[in-house]
Amino acid sequence: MNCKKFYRDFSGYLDGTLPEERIEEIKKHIEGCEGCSSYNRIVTEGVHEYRERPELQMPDDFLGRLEHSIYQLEEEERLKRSRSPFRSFMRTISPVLSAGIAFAGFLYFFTSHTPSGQLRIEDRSARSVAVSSSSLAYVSPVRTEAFSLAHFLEGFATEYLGNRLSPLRSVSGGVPVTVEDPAFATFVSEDPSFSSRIARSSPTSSLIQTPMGFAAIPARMERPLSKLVDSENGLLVVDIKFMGKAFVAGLRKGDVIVSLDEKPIEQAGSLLKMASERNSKTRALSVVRNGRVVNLKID
Amino acid sequence: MEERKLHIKARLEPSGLLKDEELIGLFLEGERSRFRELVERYDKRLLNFIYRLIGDRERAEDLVQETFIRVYKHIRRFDREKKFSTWVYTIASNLAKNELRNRSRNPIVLFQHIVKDWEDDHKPLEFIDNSKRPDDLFMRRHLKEVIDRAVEKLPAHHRVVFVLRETEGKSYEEIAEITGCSLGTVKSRLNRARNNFATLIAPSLENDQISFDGGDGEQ
Repeated sequence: MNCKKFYRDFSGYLDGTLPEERIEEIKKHIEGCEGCSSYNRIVTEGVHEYRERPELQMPDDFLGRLEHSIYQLEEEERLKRSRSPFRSFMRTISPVLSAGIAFAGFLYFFTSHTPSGQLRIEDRSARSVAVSSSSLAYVSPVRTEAFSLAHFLEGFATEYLGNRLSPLRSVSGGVPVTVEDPAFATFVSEDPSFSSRIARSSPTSSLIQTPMGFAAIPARMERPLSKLVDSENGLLVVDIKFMGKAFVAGLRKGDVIVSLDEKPIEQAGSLLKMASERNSKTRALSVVRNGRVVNLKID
Repeated sequence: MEERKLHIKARLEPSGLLKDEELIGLFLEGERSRFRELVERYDKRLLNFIYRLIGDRERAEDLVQETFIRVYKHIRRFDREKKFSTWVYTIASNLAKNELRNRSRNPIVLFQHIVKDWEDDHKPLEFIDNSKRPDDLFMRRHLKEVIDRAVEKLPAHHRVVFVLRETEGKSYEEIAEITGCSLGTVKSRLNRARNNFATLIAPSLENDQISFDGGDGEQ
């Protein structure tokens, strides 16, 4: 055994992967060689110190953020699946026809000055556009901003204020949902933070957090959504606890809750009371999603 | 927390007794909350692992999230005969590698004076006795910093092997699988990483100036 061999076998020696006799040889060499003995000590002590470094802890909102991302992923998959027949059709039509359609769309956009497709802005209300990001519901108090956001976001997701945004309407059935809570709107627009944080730091907001693992804000639905359930009142789910009771039951961000335990939501206050009750019984929820009423049971 | 307790109570088997692969099986059978358990088993470990590789906490958090998103996306394709931990570490380590590549900030490769033809009397370490240097105490006090910096200075492909072995306790075979290298490459990289590490921290730990110049044909 010499120093060269010691060096070459050192990792095997340290990790105990060498045969017994080689380990013994190295041990003997270390005893008689000052350099290799120091080398052994430095690596061992250095690694020990390195391992002792304090561990980083996960941030509190990690699981929430992960849930949002996974939810978004599921939504994208769902949209992809629902669009696939259209895609295959598009693939089969001639390129000339595609170009013609694109040109017509282009002309339409520049002549009408209104966004085409599902997402349109109600002229009468500055706060009538809500878009959900991966972490919060964004309600723009500025009409032009809302307009450009809504227009830009149509069918896409993009970066805005550091958050990935997608149209809320894509999950609430293509119908505008108005959020009438200035405190919430202002707070959110100023701080693109997580809605769970908003609930803690904005006492004036009417954000309702429930023991069922979701947070919602009072929202007013417009036609034809309101027609669907004969009511304008609902609760827009803006945050949901990943793998919490409500999540597991199938509730998703962007759903509008229209009834709880078969009682319609007449006003926000009554729902707040009902939703905040802590009891173990199964709660029946009706929500509006994608223009349809979906019934869920939360155990 | 209360809700989590209830969940655990309702389970037929305590999750602590279940292997990762069994948890995945239950998740795929419809027990959706099992995914959260899987995340909770690994999130902190991966955060620390990635942080040790890239040195940026915020990005490390993003990459842990991305790791789990990929796990979620491809979980149906995961071969449950294999170890989940190896798979999840492979994803995390690839993401960290891409991050470093994208940053174009791969650490400068230090101490790469590879001598191919060793003579038997070459010694890996040479000591100069200067143990009475006045900055000894200062260096001691900053040993942790020096150690962190030493690991940062390791070339990325050495660092990943070093961290997997020294802090994650992975076997050579697992490291080979995670990094996509041969067993021989893993051994060689680990040896060189330890050597560079020792060279960099020696002045603080030993009060001695170490100059080492050696290698065994790095791969």
